[in-house]
Amino acid sequence: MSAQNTSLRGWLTADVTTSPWQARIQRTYFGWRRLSSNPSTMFGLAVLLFTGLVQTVAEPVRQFVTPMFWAKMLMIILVATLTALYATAVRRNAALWDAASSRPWPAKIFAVLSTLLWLAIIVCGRFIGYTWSFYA
Amino acid sequence: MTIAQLLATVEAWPISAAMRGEMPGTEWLFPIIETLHVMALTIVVGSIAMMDLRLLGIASRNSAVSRLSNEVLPWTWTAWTVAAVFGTLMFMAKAGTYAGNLQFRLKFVCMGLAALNMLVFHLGVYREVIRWDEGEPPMSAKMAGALSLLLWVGVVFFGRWVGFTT
Repeated sequence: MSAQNTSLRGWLTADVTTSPWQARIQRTYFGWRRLSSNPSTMFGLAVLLFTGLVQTVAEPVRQFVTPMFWAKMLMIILVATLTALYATAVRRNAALWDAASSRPWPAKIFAVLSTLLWLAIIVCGRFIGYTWSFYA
Repeated sequence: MTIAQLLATVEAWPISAAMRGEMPGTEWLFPIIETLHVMALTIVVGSIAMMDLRLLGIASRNSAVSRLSNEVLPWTWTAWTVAAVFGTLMFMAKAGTYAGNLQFRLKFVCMGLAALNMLVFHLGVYREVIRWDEGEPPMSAKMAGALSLLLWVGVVFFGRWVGFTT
């Protein structure tokens, strides 16, 4: 019991909160989990894919010469796969996930990985523009 | 001191020179700060879009408007503060150039209008949110959501454009 309370998962899902910030982060945590299954996410991704394709078709060399582009593409495939696996696991047992007082540890690892990967994708994306001229 | 002089003074500060990459070892400072600015603004615009889509009745219809607002807005304001700090640093690099740039000005016109829109919404229809918290938002709330979405797209559009014109 005490081990659960000291874990991040326990902290995020605790029934009794010790500070307004914990309660606030808890609400956001559960809200984000609901919203992540939203069609808006899928619409946004479709727009990103289309506009990214236009840029790549327009200036393929600019994109293909820098390793930043390939690192970004690799991470997008990775994060998309992880997200699909996670979403499938949740959907398969939605009632159980909603009822459970805590999340299984793979879900926690997924959350950390997903955040880090998306941040790294932003870094690589922005740095395509700053590094491509070194390789061209 | 005129505004032009003030901007020139800011540009002469060592931190501004560092942002221009003129100090030893600061060649990558601007790209790094810009990337952090982008990270913060994705959270700002993303969280605002969540709220706007709820007001339009398009997304998150199962969440009460006030609840979503309480969940999301602390993140919006925190990220906005971070974006503003890094944005100010970028501005200092070429304060005079940015201040005179049309796209830069239009960006802040959009952000000002978005702030005004938010103020009108919160002092207006949102005060009676209890009446439409769970259901379909009234027309004025939908208008506020649509306007906010449009104006923030404008902020990003002109913001990105500043980089192509300076």
